[in-house]
Amino acid sequence: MIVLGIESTAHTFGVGIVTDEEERFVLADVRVKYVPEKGGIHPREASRLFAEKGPEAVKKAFEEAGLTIKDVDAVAVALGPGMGPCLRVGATIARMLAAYYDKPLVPVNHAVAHIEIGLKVTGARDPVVVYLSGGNTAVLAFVSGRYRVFGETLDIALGNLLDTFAREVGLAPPYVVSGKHVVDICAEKGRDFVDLPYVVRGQDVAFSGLLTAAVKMYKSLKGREGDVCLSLREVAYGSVLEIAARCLMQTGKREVMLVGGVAASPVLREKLMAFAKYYGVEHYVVPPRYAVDNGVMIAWTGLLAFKHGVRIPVEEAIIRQRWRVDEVDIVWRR
Amino acid sequence: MEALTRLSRLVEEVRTVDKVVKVLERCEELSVGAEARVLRCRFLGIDAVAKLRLPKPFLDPRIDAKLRVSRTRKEARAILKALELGVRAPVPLWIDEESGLLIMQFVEGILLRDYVVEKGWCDDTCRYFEILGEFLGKMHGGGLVHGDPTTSNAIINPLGELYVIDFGLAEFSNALEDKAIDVHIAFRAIESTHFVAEQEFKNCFLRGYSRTYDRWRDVVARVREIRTMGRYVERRRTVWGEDRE
Ligand SMILES: Nc1ncnc2c1ncn2[C@@H]1O[C@H](COP(=O)(O)OP(=O)(O)OP(=O)(O)O)[C@@H](O)[C@H]1O
Ligand SMILES: Nc1ncnc2c1ncn2[C@@H]1O[C@H](COP(=O)(O)OP(=O)(O)O)[C@@H](O)[C@H]1O
Ligand SMILES: [Mg+2]
Repeated sequence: MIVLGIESTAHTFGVGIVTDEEERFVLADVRVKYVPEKGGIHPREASRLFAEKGPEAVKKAFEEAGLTIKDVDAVAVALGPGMGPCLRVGATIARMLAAYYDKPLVPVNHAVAHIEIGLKVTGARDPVVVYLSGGNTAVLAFVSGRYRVFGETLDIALGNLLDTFAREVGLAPPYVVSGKHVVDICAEKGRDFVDLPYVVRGQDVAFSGLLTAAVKMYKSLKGREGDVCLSLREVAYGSVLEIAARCLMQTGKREVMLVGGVAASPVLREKLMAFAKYYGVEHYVVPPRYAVDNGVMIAWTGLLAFKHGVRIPVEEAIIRQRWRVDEVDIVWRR
Repeated sequence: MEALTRLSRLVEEVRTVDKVVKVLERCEELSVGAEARVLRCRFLGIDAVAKLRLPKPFLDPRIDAKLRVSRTRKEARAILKALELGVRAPVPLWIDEESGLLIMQFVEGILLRDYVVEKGWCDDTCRYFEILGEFLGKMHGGGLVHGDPTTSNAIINPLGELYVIDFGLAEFSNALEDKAIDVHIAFRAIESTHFVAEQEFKNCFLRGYSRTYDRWRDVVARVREIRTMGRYVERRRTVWGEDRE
């Protein structure tokens, strides 16, 4: 079976083609990334880029795979959650392909896809999922047929915290230098600890108070910048691991899997290792290539779903900006 | 006995509290949680629980030590406050903040979570959510937020009385925001664990909460806002969707 998947929920237009054969399941992986000139994502600007480069990306994916649309069994598309203008481009292209070439269309939830590709590439079976990216900070686990949210951030995401701090104090851009976040690099010079708010509430974390305090401190404590970075990093990573531990205990799962852009942090990986040892569980980290937005994860999740009968009539394939991850029945894991 | 030796070894790792450990008898492990180990022991002849917060290797030792001390202290103080406000909670018996050890009354019974999972939606389970709501309302009225008011932190004793436990994340606060987050946490526990009758359980909880806390409307309105997100950033994409409802 061969499935084509389209991702366009935010800053990346991705086209992936996958098979269910064991070896070399990725046949094509094309990505067009929108990089804002300054500040955050402007959905309309991103969507304009997607509309311009999207069709070309699809064509390129077929070339990469050495296939044509005729070889494809289904077309999968991320219908949400995400930004309306961006989602619309992917949905339109997918609907067009499905209708014109008479292929089944498979709806995919973006967050579910992040988890499924993680399971596929790491070999984890039933982990507590720790999803840490620029836009998300959440702890999830599979319970009774769905991925349920056990904890999350009450305000900003972990990646956003690190990036905003770095930008505000003048450490960035660039945010990541040779595989390390600039905050992690700055923390290497830290020795002593400064008092910053550590906020865990129930199973949730909150970072906005931490961000404000850290920026203020960095600017006022001349000569102790490293200490502030170190403290910020330790508080942030520590509180995330704490809520992950709470989910582990509550669900009794034996594995933990890290996914999302922040999973690339070597410091965090090391902590995760100590964490797993302490709680006696297996740990997995999704490699950066598949931890960030891409079309392959949509294609792969689409393939799993399609095999279990999931499809959607073209006229019903409307985007869902607020599609909750726990609304999706994971029929292929029952 | 083995558990006792283990406890004393664990405590020694942190600090020696020999005298107390000597009067703890017949210990058995109740739970190894994310944060603490909980043992049931005889303490001066009383059926007691020893809750011990241990160092965690994945946390910076300085944060770790600070959290251990502050949460142990807060737990004891918050329980006393809750009792004062008419909430059933295990009476604290002894505390050693530095080593993260709190000894309190043992509450015989079954976790509310297990009870609800077993019985599902019925009058009895609704009634317990209502009582949980009442207790949270009383705390909020008295300027206390629990910090983790889930069904895993409530016990039903053999007389059918509900006890609230686990005050380690409690805060003394009158801020609307903190109270709303408490209610949000209770709701999410219902969504992740008691999804068989999500809306019904929430209604039962709110019936109790509104009975004991007069500003409940403000809190519920704020909960809704928290769940809509996007408070600090313009557009936030979350696992719940862009602007969550
Ligand atoms: N080595 C690293 N250490 C720490 N953080 C990193 C590293 N590399 C990237 N990041 C962070 O990862 C984030 C980007 O991740 P990703 O691309 O998965 O997120 P996103 O697309 O913004 O969010 P999402 O897809 O969940 O909506 C940024 O905040 C970035 O700073
Ligand atoms: N006073 C008590 N009486 C009886 N059992 C208790 C008591 N305190 C804790 N427990 C048991 O230990 C478990 C964990 O305790 P808790 O205080 O909730 O710590 P944690 O922070 O690990 O969740 C509870 O779920 C309960 O089963
Ligand atoms: Mg507990």
